Amino acid sequence: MSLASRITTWWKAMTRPSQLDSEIQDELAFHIENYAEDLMRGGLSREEAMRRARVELGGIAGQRENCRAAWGTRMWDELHTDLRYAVRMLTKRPGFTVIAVGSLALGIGINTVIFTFAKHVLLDRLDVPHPEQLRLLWWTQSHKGVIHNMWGYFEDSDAANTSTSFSYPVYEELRKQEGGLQELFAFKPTGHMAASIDGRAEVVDAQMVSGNYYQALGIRPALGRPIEEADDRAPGSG
Amino acid sequence: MGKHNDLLQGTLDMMVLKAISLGPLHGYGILLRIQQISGERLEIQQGSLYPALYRLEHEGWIASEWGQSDNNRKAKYYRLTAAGRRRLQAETEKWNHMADAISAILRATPEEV
Repeated sequence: MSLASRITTWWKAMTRPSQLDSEIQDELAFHIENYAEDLMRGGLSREEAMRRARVELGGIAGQRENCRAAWGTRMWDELHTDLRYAVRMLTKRPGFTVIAVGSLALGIGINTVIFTFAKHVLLDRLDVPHPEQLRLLWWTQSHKGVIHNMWGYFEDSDAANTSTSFSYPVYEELRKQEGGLQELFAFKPTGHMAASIDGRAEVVDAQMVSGNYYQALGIRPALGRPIEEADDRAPGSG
Repeated sequence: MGKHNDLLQGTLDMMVLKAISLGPLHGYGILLRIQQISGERLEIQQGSLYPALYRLEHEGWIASEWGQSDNNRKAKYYRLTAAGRRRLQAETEKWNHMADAISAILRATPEEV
């Protein structure tokens, strides 16, 4: 089988149906005439011969339909019929149409809005001045490594365990080294916490961050001051 | 359509390809040639010939072209393509294989079993 012939025949059947129809018609007419002539040689009258030739070939309309269908148009013809039927039924019952179209529009619209929002929040890059400059550091050790437990996040695989969590002394040591990093900051989610805002207690998701966090990210609060470098100095302050 | 036609479904394609492989033919000519080389033992259902021709052309095994017939009429001629030649060979091998198997079954005697 060849894809090219399938496409060219299908394309012709779809785009030039009347030309194809008349070609099939010509081809069948040629067949009928030749067969009728052979029958007349056998002694039949012209009229009887033509009649019999037509009958043996079967209905011309049916033949045309079958030949066209052989070129892969059946599915499209059926789709066309189905669509026409759908449109007719929809125009017949406008109330149903409005409800159906309305619920589809609402469903699609709300989904689009939610996805756009979720994409912005979850998948797009962080909304800070230079997100492409940010890196998350992690370390890896074999199972015989010295670190067995730590307050943080561990990932165990067959070969090693890895983590993006560093102990605070290690963080301090890393900061002291000139490693080509512009700034090294730390953060640690602590889960739910109660925060009092204007005398009202609220549950919030909190993170502990190093003093240079906001300055390094380049974020300024709309009101008040963020945690600053100076807050790191005294344990427990800020 | 009866069972007889179902049986001939696959073989009609093969016979059409064979008839055309002997030289380009128009639809009616294919019918006559198959009847002639079968020694008039096979009669093709005329109604199934043209859909089969269109299907074979769709598959790319035969190609068509309008030309002049012997009696100076415009006629559509079919010829075998390279893919059609390969198809005919494959079908022929399959057919012979099956015919051998079936005749072996029918020849079987009690001693052989």
